[in-house]
Amino acid sequence: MAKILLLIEDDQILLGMYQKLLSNHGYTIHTAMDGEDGLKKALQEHPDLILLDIRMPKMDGMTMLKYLRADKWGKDAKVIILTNLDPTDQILHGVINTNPTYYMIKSNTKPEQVLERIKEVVDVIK
Amino acid sequence: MKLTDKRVLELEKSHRAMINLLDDFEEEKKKRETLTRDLEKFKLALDNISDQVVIADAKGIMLYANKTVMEKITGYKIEDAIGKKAGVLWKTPMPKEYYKKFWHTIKTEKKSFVGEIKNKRKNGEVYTATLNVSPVLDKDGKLLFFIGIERDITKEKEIDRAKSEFLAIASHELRTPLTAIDGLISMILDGEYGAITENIRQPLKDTSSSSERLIHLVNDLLSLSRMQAGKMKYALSCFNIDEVIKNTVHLLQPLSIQKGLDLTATKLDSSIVSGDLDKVKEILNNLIGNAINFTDKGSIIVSTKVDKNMVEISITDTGIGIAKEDISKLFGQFQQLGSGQGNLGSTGLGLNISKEMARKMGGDLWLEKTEVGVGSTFVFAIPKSN
Repeated sequence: MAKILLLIEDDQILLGMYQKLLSNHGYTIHTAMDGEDGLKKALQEHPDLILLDIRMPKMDGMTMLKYLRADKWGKDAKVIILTNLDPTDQILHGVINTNPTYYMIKSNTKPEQVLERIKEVVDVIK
Repeated sequence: MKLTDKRVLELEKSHRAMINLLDDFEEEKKKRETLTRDLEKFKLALDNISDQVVIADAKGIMLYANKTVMEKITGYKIEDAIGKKAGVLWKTPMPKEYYKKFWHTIKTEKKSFVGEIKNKRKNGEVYTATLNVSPVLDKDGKLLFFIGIERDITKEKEIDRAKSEFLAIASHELRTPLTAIDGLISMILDGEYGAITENIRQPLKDTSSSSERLIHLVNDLLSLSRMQAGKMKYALSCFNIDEVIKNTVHLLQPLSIQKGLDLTATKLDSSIVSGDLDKVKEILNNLIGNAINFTDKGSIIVSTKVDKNMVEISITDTGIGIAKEDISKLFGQFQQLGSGQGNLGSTGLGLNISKEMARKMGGDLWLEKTEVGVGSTFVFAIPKSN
């Protein structure tokens, strides 16, 4: 069965790009364009992996992640942070405690590298 | 009564002595007047400069301060200050280590201390100042007093911070569309959008490498803005430098093969160094990356030399070299960007950042030698772990 990925990204073009890439490689993609909607969908759909942007409207990625970790299912959910903020940015204070699987800077990571990391994380899930 | 010749001589002598004494007195008076005038001029000058000048005794008790400037900067009246310790009066919110270094430099080493300090004005407001305190010694080297010059740079700091914040936001906003350009081209080239014709492959590759260059430039700008805003954090740890060099060389090997260059790491010493691992990687990446960029044929050799306190990492290339007139501009912030020297653009910025990072870790970075058409050697020194 195809693995379900939840892509939370507020930039329409990037959302389309990652969606195309991942569906080409056999994943089922659910999307959200802000942290609030992303949290709602994550808790409803329990995806195999969440790809999470940080700077977003309504609720930023860090706040969403804190709520997610407070949930019984969400505390162990696999999350890859995919952002253009550097880890030293003020918004990301305490990111290490939210236990993401990977932290990637979008502009420095080619789509194929993103794909490799995703495969590494979700392909081990039975 | 008739005066004897002897008596006349005596009287003449004492008369001359009296005249001499009066002359001396007149001269002394003139000297004193000149000195007073000079002192008044000096005091007037000190009161009309923009820097605060303080003279303190060996215990740090203030003996003199230029009244107008001191009152303007600190809000304290001169009579509040004289006879008190500067640090105590201004409730300086600096860490203990700062004072330790401060007193050690001026009292023990008897050298000038130059640094930045945060002080509190009388109204509680914190201001930032540059501080230059020098000990004044007698001819036997005994400490007489200290003279300190303080310049309020609070406004300049605020402007710098605003500039850096703006640069950070601008850089971040630039990254997002660049990610889309670079990512989409990469996916088209990988066939994610279907097969592409061969005649379109090369222009797409060229677009991709141009967008990568832009991303590097934005990353450089972002690093610089973080550094200027004091946001760059350093997590010091101890690690084996030869492993880091080998890994970086391995990582950049594909780029050098692509250009037909021989990139090797030789004579590596397995010293344990102290620094921020990520920053060290970034510096090496930058130096070796530059060497690859500016070398069209030949080799790039990375080697280490160890002395008592430092490990010196040399990166030697057989590249284009640097012209004499450009050497002084090499580590500047934006000079290369505006000088129209082709792809030297991102390099100038990268070197500036790398040098700053090296220094923040207690090391340094410099150009060891260069010759146009022959090549260059850059050295990155990093402290050995104790």
